[in-house]
Amino acid sequence: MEKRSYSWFERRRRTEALNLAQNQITKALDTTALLDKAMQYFLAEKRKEAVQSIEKLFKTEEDVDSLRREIFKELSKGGALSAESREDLMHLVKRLDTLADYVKDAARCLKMLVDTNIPKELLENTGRMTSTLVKCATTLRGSIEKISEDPAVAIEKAKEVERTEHEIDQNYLDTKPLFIKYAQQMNPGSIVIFDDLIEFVEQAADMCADTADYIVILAGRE
Amino acid sequence: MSRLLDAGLERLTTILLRMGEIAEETIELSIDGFLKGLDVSDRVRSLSETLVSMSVDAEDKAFELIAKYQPVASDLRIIKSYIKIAHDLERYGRYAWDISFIHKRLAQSERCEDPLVLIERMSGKVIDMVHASIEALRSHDVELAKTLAKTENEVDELYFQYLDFSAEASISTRCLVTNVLAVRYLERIADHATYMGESIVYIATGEKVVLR
Repeated sequence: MEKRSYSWFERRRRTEALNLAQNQITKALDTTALLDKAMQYFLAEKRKEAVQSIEKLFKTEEDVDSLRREIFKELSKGGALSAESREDLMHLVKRLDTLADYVKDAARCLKMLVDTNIPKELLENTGRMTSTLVKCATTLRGSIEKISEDPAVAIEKAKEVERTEHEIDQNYLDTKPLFIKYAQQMNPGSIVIFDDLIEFVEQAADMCADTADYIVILAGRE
Repeated sequence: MSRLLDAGLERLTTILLRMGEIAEETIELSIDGFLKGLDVSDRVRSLSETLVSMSVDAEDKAFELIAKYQPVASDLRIIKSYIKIAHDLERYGRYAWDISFIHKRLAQSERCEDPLVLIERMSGKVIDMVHASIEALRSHDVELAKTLAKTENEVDELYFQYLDFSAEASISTRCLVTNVLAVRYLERIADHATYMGESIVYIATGEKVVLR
């Protein structure tokens, strides 16, 4: 996937940690698109393609995880960055790593459900959640890109992330009661796994909003 | 001679121990409401949100210590483990809130039947685990932390018994779905208690163990 440029990083001295962090952020946000792709394939009954997207997501998440470890190793050496910049970077990297973790957990649940029959209404609700999660991540990416160049826009976009996260929350709360409606069509195991799936998507959205909160702090300092 | 890092570590420890107290209160309240058929969701939600905010504080403090003092060896081990433990404590709160939420929204806060008393037994064990995990954190007690593995196996056993039972249960659909999700959340709380146990062993010994 395309490597983005984040001017907030450019303004600081080029270090190995910063290069790695840019890469990590891009990949972490890409996991949301892969989850949504898998979900849309699932909805379209293209289960094989759904699994392929999930496998790609797992690989991307492994990269995110290994980049996070490398970045923390680099940052623990001290070096060119100030303590404040190191701390900022750790916050961003950790939050996005957690976001990718939740996305991976959601994908794992989806993979477990691949051979089961899930009522369409439940799948459609979840498809809406994953699509909105992509919107959340894309807005977050835009916000990060603007931290230095235009802090006011960065803050506005961060607020938009909050609003998008509320949409996902609402969808999540509306989906749970549907388990009763469809209890006769699903075995208890599928209900539990499906509940985990929507919960992980909701948590990924939470983490998106949490990262946006941090962007507001960073942009405020610029 | 006392180091600047020590004061920071002490502050971080205080946040975590306070989180432990709140997490314990949250879980007990949520389970009590569930078993007695009481709506405690507002209070549980508020406590759960407090834990989320404290978890952010703990993480902020931990990153500040790493960035400012570049700790090594046992100091770094403690800080990294504390970040994980703060997450576990936050999850305690979240699952407690999940239990109260589905109890209110799906079961309309009614007291659902538990014919084999599996949920009550599971709840008792989970509360014991939460208590033990927080006590082990307070005292860095490796032996106590290791006991969590055994109880977690027992919780898992009860969880699977409930899933087997639910396949043939003759209780209302509303209660059946609520109970199935509640036991899942209890099982997840037990998992996090065990993760905490693993972190505590790591803090005290430097040994990475898998207790599950």
